[in-house]
Amino acid sequence: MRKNIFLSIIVVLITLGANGQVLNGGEVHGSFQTDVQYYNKDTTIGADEIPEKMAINSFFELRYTNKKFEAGMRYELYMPEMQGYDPRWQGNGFGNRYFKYNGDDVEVTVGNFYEQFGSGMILRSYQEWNLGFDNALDGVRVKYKMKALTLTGLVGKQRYYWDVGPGLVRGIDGQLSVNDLIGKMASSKTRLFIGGSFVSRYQVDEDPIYILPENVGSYAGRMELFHGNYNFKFEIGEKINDPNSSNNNIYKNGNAVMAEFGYSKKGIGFTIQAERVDNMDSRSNRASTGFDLPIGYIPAMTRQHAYSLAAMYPYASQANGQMGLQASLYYKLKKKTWYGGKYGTTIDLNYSVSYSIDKQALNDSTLIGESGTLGYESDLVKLGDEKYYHDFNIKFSRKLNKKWTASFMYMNLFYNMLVNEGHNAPNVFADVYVVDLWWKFKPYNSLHMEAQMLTTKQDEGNWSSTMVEYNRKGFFVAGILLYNYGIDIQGHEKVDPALYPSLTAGYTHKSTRVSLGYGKQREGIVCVGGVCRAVPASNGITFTINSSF
Amino acid sequence: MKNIFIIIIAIVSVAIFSVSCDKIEGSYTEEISTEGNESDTIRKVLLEDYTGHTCPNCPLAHTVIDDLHDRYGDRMVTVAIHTGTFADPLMGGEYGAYYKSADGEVLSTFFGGNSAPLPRGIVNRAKVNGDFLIEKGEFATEVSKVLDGKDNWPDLYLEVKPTYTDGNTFDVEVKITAMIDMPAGKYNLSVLITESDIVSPQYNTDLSINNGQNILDYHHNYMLRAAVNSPWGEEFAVSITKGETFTKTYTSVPLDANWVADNISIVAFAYYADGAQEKEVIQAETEHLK
Repeated sequence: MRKNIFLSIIVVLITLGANGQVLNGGEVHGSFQTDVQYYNKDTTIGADEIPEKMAINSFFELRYTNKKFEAGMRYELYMPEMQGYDPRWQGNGFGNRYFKYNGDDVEVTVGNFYEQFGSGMILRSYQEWNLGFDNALDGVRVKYKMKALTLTGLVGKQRYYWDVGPGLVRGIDGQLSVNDLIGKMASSKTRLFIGGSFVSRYQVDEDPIYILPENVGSYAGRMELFHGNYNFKFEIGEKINDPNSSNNNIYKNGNAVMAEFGYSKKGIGFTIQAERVDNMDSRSNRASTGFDLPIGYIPAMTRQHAYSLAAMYPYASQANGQMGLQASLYYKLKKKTWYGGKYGTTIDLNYSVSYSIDKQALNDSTLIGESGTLGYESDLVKLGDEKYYHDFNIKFSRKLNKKWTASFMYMNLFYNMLVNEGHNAPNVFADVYVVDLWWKFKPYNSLHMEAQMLTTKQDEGNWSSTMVEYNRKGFFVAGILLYNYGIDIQGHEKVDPALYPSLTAGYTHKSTRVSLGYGKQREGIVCVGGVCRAVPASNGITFTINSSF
Repeated sequence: MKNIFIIIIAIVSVAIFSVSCDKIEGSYTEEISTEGNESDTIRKVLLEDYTGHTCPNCPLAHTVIDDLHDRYGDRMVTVAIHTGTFADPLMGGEYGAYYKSADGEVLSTFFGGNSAPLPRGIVNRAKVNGDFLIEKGEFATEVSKVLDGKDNWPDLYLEVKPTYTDGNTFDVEVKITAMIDMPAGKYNLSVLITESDIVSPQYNTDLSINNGQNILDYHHNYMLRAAVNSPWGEEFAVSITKGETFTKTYTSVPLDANWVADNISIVAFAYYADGAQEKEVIQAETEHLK
């Protein structure tokens, strides 16, 4: 069945001719990327030998559009998958293919598609190449677009590596633009959007121990309000009983609420976000764990840091229970003042914190979270006892003169080991300091220097990182010295110091980028939007090429 | 036209909404009947549990296994294979024990248990959605598919008769009786040694077990120690007709001095060695050494 569809796509594309980007009025666009890594065994950093020596992740994506018609596919190859990616990716084939009709009122997609209802609280299918994550739906989606209202209906199964998950996902969503509905508001300074969605998962119950719901419904409502420089967003959702592996088979309903208030104008901006999530992990296979088959998406309300040591302990979003707050402030100090300097100075302040939710036992004879019960009771406004994460960070950036720009960042971090990494180990308290300098010394030439330091008495102890990067037009070469000071204190597992040097060079020409590197990489965690994967230590050559057309 | 469309959508939405929620009220658990589990001539299932002493979620998988043993008694034959980084001994601490076995590594390398996130398991070595390895949340369903979803009468009937007097060896005889005609093809018999009640620390983070703390006196059960007749066993038939019997005897099988004979069991199972169902277990049996 699947193969026939691929063949049809290929036949269509070949028939239309493949000797140019414009075919009979249609257009072909696409992109590809290949990541190659060669692995050496290195006992000093705990890098294992892999039998294949070399791993390759690659994809080639093609999209053909002709007036209202669109067809696309993505070929993927993991031979074998790079270290840190799920071994179930190993293999190659067409991971994604679809046909789409994009009419004036109606849009119909068959095959694979990505969709998000509101913030994604009860439905989000997306792909993250760098995480090895893809929960694309495979089925049918219809969108009906009216002046003020867009309705989306879909049915499908989710991608599960090279297969699909066992559960059926059905969803419906409506997004209403109130300004377009009410004539008077058409030119109002205030804009209001209201949305609502319903998602249901069907999975057969063949469990001999528990009576499991086969149809699990969840619903959510949302609003977005914009007024001048202000914006306000609110979303609330609930899920009916969904005993599954992630919640230890409890029958409690789940719920989530998120709110955001923001202000932004030239030179100043702030955002405050709050969320509370209780038992909202939903998947199209109730037995799944880890990255597999999530239907809804609960974002981590924390800053995603670009500096490597600041990103060392990222927060992993807890869909089954978290209460969090995030506040950000951006402010630009005036130019040509004693405090702002000749070109002005920007201050970027951010604080986020996340706690467990309150959980009380149902009665004396039931444990909190005991399988086959309602699990627990939770007070909506009460914080739980356990802190999961906090991150306070402040960054100053100032352009010193035409050639130099300098930034300083300080970060204070708390990281709950058990919640974020799933094992019992002391929680991490850390401070991170970053100095970042850019020097443009000739036209098209620049030098970028970064010094970072992370101090902590837990986990692997202190780290430092120094980087020098030279850029000239599309060319760059960067050297990084990452050093772990190790840890040797009473009552803590000893960690030996280790040095991780690496050198990378690359070239970008038009839309193609090639880079080649050699060095050691530390064991770590990579996260995108609160979804994380562990990456083992490695020592070897890496090569990456990507291009789009 | 547009209005009709909206009305249709509204009707469809209401219909989906009303039928797509199964609210479970009252009892959340199935009624348990252990009737008929006593007979020996009954279909049995093999559950292989890939685990490790530094795997924090593995104790939760063991509670699932315990629940299934409560439900199915001896009809489920369990083998715990300690493998992967979670089974690596930690130097200089309480987790210094080495529970991997050479034969277990052969199996876990083939099935992927050594590189997969744990816990994972395999039921009757049959693929589920294209994979041998399944999640702990799928153990119950897959075991039930074999024990409740198929005829109670086994295709093959296995008897395991170990003989142990004392010392560091034992003998074992496995007799296979065909209860039906089996399709033409090769059939293997695997015989394994497992040990239970090995007390040593185990990582744990599940709040419903020991308040989420690691368990220092954990009882490691069904631990694979070694294979008696190589990790993949040996071929015992190329065709099987109803009523036919096959007997395999293994003598002077060595027992490691560190194993406690009182806690040793012998596990035997017959499986398809070729064809469409290659590797799938047909029947399993276990017997205490003493």
